[in-house]
Amino acid sequence: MLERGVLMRNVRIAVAALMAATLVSCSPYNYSKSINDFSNGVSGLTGAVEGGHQASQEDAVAIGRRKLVYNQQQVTFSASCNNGGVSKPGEPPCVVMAVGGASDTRNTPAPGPRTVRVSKALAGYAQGLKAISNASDRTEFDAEVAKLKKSLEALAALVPGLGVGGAAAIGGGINLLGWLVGTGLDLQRYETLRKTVTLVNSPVGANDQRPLDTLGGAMLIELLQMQTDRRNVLFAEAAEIRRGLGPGLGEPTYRARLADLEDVLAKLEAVRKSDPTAAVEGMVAAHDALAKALNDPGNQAEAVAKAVGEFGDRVNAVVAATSSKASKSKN
Amino acid sequence: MATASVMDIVREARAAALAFSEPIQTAMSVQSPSDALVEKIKEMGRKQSEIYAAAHDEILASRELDEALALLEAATQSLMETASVMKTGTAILRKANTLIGFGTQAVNAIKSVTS
Repeated sequence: MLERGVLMRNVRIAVAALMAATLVSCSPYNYSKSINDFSNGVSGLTGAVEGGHQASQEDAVAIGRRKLVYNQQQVTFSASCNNGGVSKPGEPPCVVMAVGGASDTRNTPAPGPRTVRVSKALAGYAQGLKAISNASDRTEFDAEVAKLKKSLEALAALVPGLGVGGAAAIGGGINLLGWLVGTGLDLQRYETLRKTVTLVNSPVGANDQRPLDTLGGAMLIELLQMQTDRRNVLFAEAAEIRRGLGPGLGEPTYRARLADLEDVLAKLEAVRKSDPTAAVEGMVAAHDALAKALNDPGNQAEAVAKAVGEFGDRVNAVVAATSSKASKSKN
Repeated sequence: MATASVMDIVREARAAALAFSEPIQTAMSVQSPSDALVEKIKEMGRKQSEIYAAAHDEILASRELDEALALLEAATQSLMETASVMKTGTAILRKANTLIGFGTQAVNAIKSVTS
């Protein structure tokens, strides 16, 4: 009889442990850090598109300024400086320019609405992943359950005849109910996370392509075009400065122009070091690792962390290449 | 009917643009390039840019991109909605705690007056 009781107790402990292990392995918070890093990487990548356009505009302004200084031209302001109203999107910035010179080189077109939608969709999705795996939501929920338990215990203690035992029983009930609801919500989060990531990682549509491949491809071509354009502009600028460097300039002028050339070459080097293809491939690989891990939670966390880490490193190089500041002429 | 996929367009554009990379690198390795050589490098760079611009336009006009955007936007909404359930629950609990706190204070006040 006693042996049977011990056996039943052990079975209950084993079932409870198994349930707990299942719940832990299916927690949406197991990949919180990796998803957070993934989200930051996607933000960096989408921000690089905006940053790249800004950097191109800054390059154009720096080149214009350098030409004014080197040629000591008479200057005026662009027409947009005094248009009598608030600046409109796409309007050329208010800048100094050569008399008779065109300001169109300083008006790099902003990303189009479709490009902006691609960036927003990717960034929004990454934010959604981050929101659903945010462990602090559960901590806050548990804290409110604990407060509710205390509050109800305090209130129940005031009810005549209920006594301390009754109040404690109510508190225990609230704890259990809170735990059940919290765990249920965690499981709902995990299932939504798993199903959504799996769906985004699966081929769809007439071309049978994975959505992240498609959107990554759209972002990649934007980045490649921007990188090529910027490299062309910087190379032309470096060639122009180099052509004017030589004996007879006087030491201060030579020094200043050499510094200008070094500035431009530093930017070219950053563009050369960035690899948008590797960054976009890293994003897809990291998402792929997450999808695999969510569908087979057996010790895949390390693979996800590794893929996300590599993605982050590649994004950093792209961000560095698209956000270098415009050079200031030392003349 | 399936058309060229976005990834195919990207792959083809990269291959076409890469064909200019080697001549550009060779030309750039010249220590004192002539103006004509510099112009040639610029021209090859412009061609690379044109290849990417054409591919960019083709991708932005593709149906595949529309489908992917629609799916990702729906997926994001689903994630956000599920994430908000627990936050809403926490907010309700917070309000309940505040109300119970007031209730307890009121009962205590009544008790202190009636005792």
